[in-house]
Amino acid sequence: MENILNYIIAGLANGCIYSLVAIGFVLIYKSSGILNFAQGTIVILNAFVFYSFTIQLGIPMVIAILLTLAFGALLGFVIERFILDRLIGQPILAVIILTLAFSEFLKGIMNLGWGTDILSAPQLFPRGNITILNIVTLDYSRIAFLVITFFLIIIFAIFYNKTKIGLAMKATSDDTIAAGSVGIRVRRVFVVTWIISCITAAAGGILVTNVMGIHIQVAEIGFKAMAVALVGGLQSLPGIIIIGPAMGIIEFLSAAYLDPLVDGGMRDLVPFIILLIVLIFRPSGIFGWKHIERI
Amino acid sequence: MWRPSGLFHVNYSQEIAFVQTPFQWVMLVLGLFVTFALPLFIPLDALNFFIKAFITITAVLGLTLLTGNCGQISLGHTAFMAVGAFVGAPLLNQGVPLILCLIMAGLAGGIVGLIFGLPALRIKGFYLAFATLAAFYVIRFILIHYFGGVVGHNVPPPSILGFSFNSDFRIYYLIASTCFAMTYFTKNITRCKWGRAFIAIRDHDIAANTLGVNVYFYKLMAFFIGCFYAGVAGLVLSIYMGWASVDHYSLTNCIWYLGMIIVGGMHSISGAYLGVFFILGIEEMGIVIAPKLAELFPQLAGSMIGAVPIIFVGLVLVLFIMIEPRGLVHRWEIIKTSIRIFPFSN
Repeated sequence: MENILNYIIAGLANGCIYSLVAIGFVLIYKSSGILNFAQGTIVILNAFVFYSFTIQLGIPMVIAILLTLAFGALLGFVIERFILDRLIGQPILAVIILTLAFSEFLKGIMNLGWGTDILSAPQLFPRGNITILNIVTLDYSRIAFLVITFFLIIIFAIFYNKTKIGLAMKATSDDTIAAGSVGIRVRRVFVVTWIISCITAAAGGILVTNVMGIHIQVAEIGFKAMAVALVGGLQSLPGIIIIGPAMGIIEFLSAAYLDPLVDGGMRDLVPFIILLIVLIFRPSGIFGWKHIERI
Repeated sequence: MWRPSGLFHVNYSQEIAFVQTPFQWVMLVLGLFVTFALPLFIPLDALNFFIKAFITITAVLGLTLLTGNCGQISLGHTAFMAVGAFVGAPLLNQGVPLILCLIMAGLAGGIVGLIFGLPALRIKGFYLAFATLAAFYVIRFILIHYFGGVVGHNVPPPSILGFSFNSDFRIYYLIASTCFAMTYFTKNITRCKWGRAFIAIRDHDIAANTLGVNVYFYKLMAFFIGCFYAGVAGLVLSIYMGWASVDHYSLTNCIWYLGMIIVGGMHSISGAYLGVFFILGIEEMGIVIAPKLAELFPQLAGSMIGAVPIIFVGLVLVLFIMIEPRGLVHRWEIIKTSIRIFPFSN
C-alpha cells in the first residue's frame, strides 16, 4: 500500500513537469498553428546551459537560474524571428520537418559542446526524505517539483487571463485576423508566445535534469509532453494541467506493475500507447472540444 | 505534360507507353548501362555510397507515395523498415528463396503499416505525424522485447540460382535492381487510378470523397504500399549490413528521409532520386570534413565525428525548407523551361 502511494507521488511530481513543457507547445500551437517538435531539445539545451553557468563558470545558483531563463527567452526570440516567421502558411509537412531538422541540428551542437556522457546536474535542493505518518516517503526534490510547478502554473494562469499581453495572446489564438483588426500587434504576440514557451522549457529543463541527469536522451521528455498535450486536447490548457500529472502517475504505476511482465521499458512506452488509443477513439483529446484536424 | 513537337499518339497503347520518345529510350539504356557498369570503375568507398543511396531511394519512394502523393505524414517509416528486416532475416536464415523473402518483408512492413495507419482514418496533419511517431516507439519496443531487437539477427549472404551475393560488389547489383524495379512500380502506381485517387486525397480529402473516391480505402492502401517499400528497403539494408538490428533504423534516419522528399520535390520520382543523392552527399561531406575539423579543434575531437554530419544535414534541411520549400525538382523545371524557350526566357 505504501508503495502505491510512493509511486503516485513520484508520478505526480514528474507529471507536473510534463504539464509545464506541454504548456509551451500549446501556446505556440494556439497562437500560430505550429506544433514545435523541437521543444524537448530546447528543454535539454537549456539544461546544458544551466550546467555550464553553474558548474563550469561557477556562477551562484540563483543568478544562474535567472541567466538560464534569460537564455531561454533569447532562444525563443531568435527562433521566432529568423526561422518560424517564414513558415506561416507553409504546408504542414514543411513545418514538421523544419522543427525536427532543427532539433537534430541542436542535438549535434550539444553533442559537440557537452559530449555524450551523462552529466550530473547541480544540486538544487538538499538531499533527504521526510516520512508522513509512516506511510509515504518523499524526498525533498519531489516536493519542490510539486510546489514549484504549481506556483509556475498559477503565475502563468494569472498572466494569461489578467494581463494585457496575456489577453492579446488569447485573442490571437482565437482568431488571428480579428485580433489584428482590433489593433493587437500579432507579430509581437507571436514573439512573446515563443519567448514564454522557451522560458517554460528552460524551467522544465532545470527541474527535470535535477533528478534525471543531463543527457541528450532526456530530450524525449518533449515527445512525452507532446503526448500529454494531444491526450489533453491541443486547444485546452486546463486539460493539459490535469492530464500531465495523471500521465505521470500512470507511467510510474505501469513501470512498477507492468515491467515485471515484459522485462522493462514500459515507462517510456505507456504515454504513446495511451496517445494512440485516445487518437483513435477521441481524436480531439479528452478535454479538447473545438475544431480539430480531422475529416 | 510537355512533349516534342511532331509526336502524335494515334492509339491508347502509345499514349500510356512507359517510354515515349527515342531520346527517352537512349537515356534509359544509357542510364541503366552506366548504373550497372559503375562498380567496375569506382573505388570501394564510392561503391558503398551508391549502395546506401539505392537502399535509401527504395525507402524514400515509399514515402513519396505515402507522404508526397497521398499527403499522409509518416514519422514511423524506419520502424516499418525494421519490421521488414526482422521478418525477412529469419526467413533468409531458414533458406527461403530471396525473392520470396523480399516479398514477405514487404508484406510484413505493409501490414504493420496498415495497422498503425488506422488513426489516419480519423486524424490528419500534426495529429497523424505524432500518431506515427508513437507507432515508431511502440514498434521499436515490441521488436526489442519480443524479437531480440538489440542483439539482432545474423543475415547470411542470399543467393539467386546459385549466384551468391557475398561481396559489396555483388550486393550492389541486387540493390540497384531492387531499386529500379520499385521505381518502375512507383511510376505505374502514380499514373493509374490509385495514384490519381492518392493525389485527390492529398489536395482535398472532402472534395475527393464527394467525387466518389473511397477516402478510407485509399488512405489505408497508401499506408500499405508505402510501408511495403519500407519493408523491402529494410530487408535489403540488413542484407547489406549482414546484420539486422533496431539500431540501424533510427528516428534520425526517418527525419532525413522526410527531409529528402522535401529537398527533392515532394511528389515526383525524380525528386526522390535528387533528394537522396543531395542529402547523402551532404552527409558524406560531413563525414569527410569531420576529421579535419577535429585536427583544428583538438578539445572537441571526441564528439566531432558523430556530430558534424548531423549538424550539416540539419542545417541544410532548415535552410532548404526556408529558402526553397518546393524542392530541387521545381528549380530544375524552371531551368529546363528557360532553356526550351531560350531567347524569350528571362
